[in-house]
Amino acid sequence: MTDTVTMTPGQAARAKLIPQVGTVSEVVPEALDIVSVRVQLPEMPDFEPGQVGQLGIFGVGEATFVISSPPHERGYVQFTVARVGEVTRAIHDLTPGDSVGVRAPLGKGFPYRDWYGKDIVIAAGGIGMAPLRPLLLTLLEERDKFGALKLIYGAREPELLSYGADRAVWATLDGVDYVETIDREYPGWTGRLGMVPPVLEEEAPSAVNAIGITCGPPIMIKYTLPVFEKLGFKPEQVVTTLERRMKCGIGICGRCNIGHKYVCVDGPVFTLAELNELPDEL
Amino acid sequence: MADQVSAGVPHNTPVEAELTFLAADKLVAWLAALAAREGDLLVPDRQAGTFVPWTGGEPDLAKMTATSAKGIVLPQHETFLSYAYDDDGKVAVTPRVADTPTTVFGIRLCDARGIRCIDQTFGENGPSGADPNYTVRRNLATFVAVACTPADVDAACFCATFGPADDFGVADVVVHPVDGGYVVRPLTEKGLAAAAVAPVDTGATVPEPPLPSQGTAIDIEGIEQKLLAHFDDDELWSDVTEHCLSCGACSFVCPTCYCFSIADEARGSECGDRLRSWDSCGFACYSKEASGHNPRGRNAQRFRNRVNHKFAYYPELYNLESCVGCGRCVRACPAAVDIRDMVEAVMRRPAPTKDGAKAEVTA
Repeated sequence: MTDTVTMTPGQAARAKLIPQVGTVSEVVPEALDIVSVRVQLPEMPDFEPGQVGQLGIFGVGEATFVISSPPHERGYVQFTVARVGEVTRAIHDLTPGDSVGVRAPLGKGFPYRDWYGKDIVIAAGGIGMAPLRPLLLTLLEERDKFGALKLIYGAREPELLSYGADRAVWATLDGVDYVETIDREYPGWTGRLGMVPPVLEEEAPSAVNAIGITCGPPIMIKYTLPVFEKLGFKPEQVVTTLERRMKCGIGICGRCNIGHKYVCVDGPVFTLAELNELPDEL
Repeated sequence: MADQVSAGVPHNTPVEAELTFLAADKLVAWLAALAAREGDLLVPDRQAGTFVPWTGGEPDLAKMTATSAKGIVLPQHETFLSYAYDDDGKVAVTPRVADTPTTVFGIRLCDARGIRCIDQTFGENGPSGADPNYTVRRNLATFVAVACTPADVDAACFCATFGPADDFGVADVVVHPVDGGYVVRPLTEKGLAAAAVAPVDTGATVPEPPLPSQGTAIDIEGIEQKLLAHFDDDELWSDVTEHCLSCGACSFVCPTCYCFSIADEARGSECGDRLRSWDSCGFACYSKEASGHNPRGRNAQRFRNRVNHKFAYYPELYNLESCVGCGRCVRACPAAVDIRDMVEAVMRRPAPTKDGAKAEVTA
């Protein structure tokens, strides 16, 4: 009697902990200690902006990252990764041609089709732009279906702003009102100063027929949500996407719960109205 | 055998079967017959604190093991894939799943109810459908439960809190100790097959077995709402968790705790395995993010999650407490933390006042 056997194809298809083996096609430096890794997969998954995936290196481990490329960019999935730990250090060392494991998509994305006809206000901080980039690029792809589009993107230092090529486009694009800000004075920075929550308050976008979306470090989200409320956004109009430590990504390993919800399957995208129903454990 | 995943769970199908009587001196012969079947036969070993392969002789059926039977279906460590790099750095992945039928003789009814809890998460109605590794193990396992007698129940048992004495959980067979032997009660097709090899006394009058003995019942009426109402009561949670060491022993011995971690175990740089291993929400690093942010950085926050999961979050999802009252966590805790004390503290805590001020404990 053998201890273990290979699964039948049917079983493997249901084995959601088994990654696809993909090939790195490109590693794009984005910011200080932040890169985007593009991966080609044997079976390219359909996904929605805001959905996440597991990116891993066999022998090191896997971790959860948001898919930072939009669904309409076919041919690869992209993850934007800050170098903070063991797995992310190994990811930063990847070069084109390397084999990686990918389980994607996981979780629920932004319900942007419910927002047709509305103004959209996005407030992003630091690497919190990663889930909002595919959202914004999707909105721009369907630009005529939305009202005014505003993006406020801030970071502690200029070197921590990602997606330089995108930002250069957004800064000149008629379709989006782009505001870039740095927390406090920084050598060489001549642009706007201020953290994202106060800048959002100064910009004071109208809450009428609008959706506000925010993502950033937990502390930034904590201070941005009340600003949206102060501007008149109702909890149903405010959307965020949460970070939580995850292992399985499929709702069974336990750790990413907030109350009885699991961020990996019930989120990571939640409205403030949904979060208000849950225990305060961000 | 591995096809049992796609074949569903026919062997777990409940059956209506006659009770039979097994004479006490035939128990070892039954175990020998069970051991002769394909696969492993495990029996309780109180010295080891768990279930071990039967090596002959009378099994030790007095009192429960220190750890639960969950490891049969959710092992402490389980390889679910192997990987190998070729010379060009390309990876081949081989999914792995166990295929050894296992008969476990001598689990307790609290074990059988605990596995029913884990079934909710890892079964086909769970958040991601049937987990392949769990399902294969589950379908290949036959659980022979021994009904507790008064001598088996100790001060830590509180299973009467969670249901009647004749709730047999997912047991395939229940063995009731009676004068001179055992009454054998098959409950599923798998159980019927296990009972079929028992050298029962076909001519004997089968006595009516007594109801299994149970521990105490504690008051949990309305605890779900109370727990959620006291979520922000830091004083309460700090008090009841003051002595917790964050060692995770309670989770590891618990028949319903199923949290796991995933890690790679490399054999050199060319190949290795990916495993899932038991984890505990009591561990400080359990929910700590790479950035350093930890939503449950303090003991009080972690244990609040443990109690809330068992008595509020899980019931919200599955209409079932994720506690069976086996008392194993109570016996195992090196700091004498007792989940019943926490439940009692929450139950008697006055409702929080509207302005958020701490209410005085008057009880």
